[in-house]
Amino acid sequence: MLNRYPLWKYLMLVAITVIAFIYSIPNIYVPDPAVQVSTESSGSVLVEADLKKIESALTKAEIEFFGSELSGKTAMVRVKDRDHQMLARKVIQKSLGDGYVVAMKNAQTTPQWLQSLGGAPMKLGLDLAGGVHFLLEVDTPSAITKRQEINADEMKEKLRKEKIRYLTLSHNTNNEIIGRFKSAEVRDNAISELRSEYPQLSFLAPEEKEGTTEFTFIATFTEAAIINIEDYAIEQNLVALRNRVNELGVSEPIVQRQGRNRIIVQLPGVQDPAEAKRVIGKTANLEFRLSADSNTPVLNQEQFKRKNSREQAINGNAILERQIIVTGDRVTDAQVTLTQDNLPAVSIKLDGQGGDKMYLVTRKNIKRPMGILFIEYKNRTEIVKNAQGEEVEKNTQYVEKTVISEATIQSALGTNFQITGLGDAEAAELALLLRAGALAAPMHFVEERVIAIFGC
Amino acid sequence: MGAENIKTGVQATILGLLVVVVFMMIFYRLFGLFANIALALNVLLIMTVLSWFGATLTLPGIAGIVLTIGMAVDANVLIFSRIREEMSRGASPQQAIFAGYERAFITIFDSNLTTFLVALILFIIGTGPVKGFAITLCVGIATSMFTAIVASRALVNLYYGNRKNLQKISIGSWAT
Repeated sequence: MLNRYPLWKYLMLVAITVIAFIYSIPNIYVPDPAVQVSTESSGSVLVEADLKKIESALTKAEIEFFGSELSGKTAMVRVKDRDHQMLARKVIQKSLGDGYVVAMKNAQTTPQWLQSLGGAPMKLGLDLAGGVHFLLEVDTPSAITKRQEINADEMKEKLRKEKIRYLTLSHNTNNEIIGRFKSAEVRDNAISELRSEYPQLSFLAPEEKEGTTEFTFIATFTEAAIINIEDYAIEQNLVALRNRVNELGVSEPIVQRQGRNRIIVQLPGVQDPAEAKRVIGKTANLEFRLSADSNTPVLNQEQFKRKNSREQAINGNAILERQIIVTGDRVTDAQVTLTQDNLPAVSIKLDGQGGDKMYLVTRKNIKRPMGILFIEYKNRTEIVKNAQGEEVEKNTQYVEKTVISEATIQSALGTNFQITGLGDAEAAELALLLRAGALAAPMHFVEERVIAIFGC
Repeated sequence: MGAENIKTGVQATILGLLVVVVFMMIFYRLFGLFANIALALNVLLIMTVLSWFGATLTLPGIAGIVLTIGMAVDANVLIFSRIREEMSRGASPQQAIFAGYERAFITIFDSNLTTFLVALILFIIGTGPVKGFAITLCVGIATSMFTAIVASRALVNLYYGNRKNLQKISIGSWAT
């Protein structure tokens, strides 16, 4: 017969149809509005007591909820509708206080048997789920200029140390470093000295005219180095942005690089772009300060909480001097590395000026501890009664200063130094915080869109 | 962008689908019904594959699905027209069905392959909305090829394949 399929073809089609049915079913279950709670630092976990606290707070505020669950690092409660969701979020945030991220979330209602088969609804994009969309442009040219400035400073220092005399050495607006010398011999000497130190730069020595008294070199970034710097600046801004977005209490935010120098931020469920913009646009900063000791006058002391709650419990508040050695904009890089003994450490790089200042202070204070202060500009939403006795939301900005590291100075520190005596996770977190606080290339908003929530 | 736009977009999609379904039923009768069943399976398969890959459905993604629905219908129209043509040339219904599926396949495969390649390039180079469109288009082409050719033929075979003295098939008025 012409038009007959073998049995296996029919069976295959039936099987495919059944599978397609099963895995399409999750899409017809409408998700519940829910509130998700997680802790701010990656180290701590939520316990049963936290969930009890959330539940009692909701009961007290007369918000109906169901299906509260606790799974490792997060807790979740489901509520009836979106109005209750917003309200529940505020109530929970208030009852738990700082240190917790309370996010609005769409909890999936896929039945257990479908979930155990791996069934899940399709994820909906921002245009279908609603939310805000930002496009930011990172000012990478300024990052390159800044790096070249740093390089010029460091080169001067290096040449002075090597006793190579230069007439002038400076960078210009084309991001070139131009060094001028008295003789070709000195110049060549300088180039060979610097070349090994700066593989990312290409050195050019132009031919001299007859009878000249000036011998110059021009150092420019290689194309690869420029891309490297751009990547680093954007990477750093991405880290900073993610930290900030986490504070908005949005579940599943998207913070993504787009193209060479742009970053997309998508916040599902957020309907207030002004609030989001304020948080995204804010900056964090760092301060390096000496710890106060018995010789420090009381007037010159300042107390701060520690970021790590375990350390806070053991050592109590950190007491630092009021003088600032170096601020975060002098930090050019912070990475997790290993010491010679294979222990985790954070290696910090400062720019030339920062290194000089650090050296001057630390060489006189060896064996004293130094603290790193992390300064964040945060928003707090409170419910206050206005003159008519109505409850209104009030946003207040506040500054939170916490000590993220306190370590003893082992030797005079310069542009490169390490912080040791940390665990793996601690080192990773410290490096992240240092980078977040370090000033990356500036960025600005180029596009802003609000997409209304659909289907509610 | 906004809820209103999305609402009208979804309404347009549903309306378009209905028109296509009704058109197929009127023009190709029982064969049209088979094509419509295959079409429904196609949509289910797209949803399955998208949730397996964890892909995100966006509004341009819905546009991609609508486009592949059109392409699936297009494939069936090609096949059915071919069957009618074979019959008007004097082929028996069984021969016509066989020849229709076999010969239309090459045409469908070629045209879908070129679209697939374009969608693949869009997926690799594009970002944001373009990518969302490309991913559903890629998935949709693959599944629509399967449903429009294999699944619709299975239904036809199941219904007509066992009849020895088949004189007439329900494929629209002016073919018989």
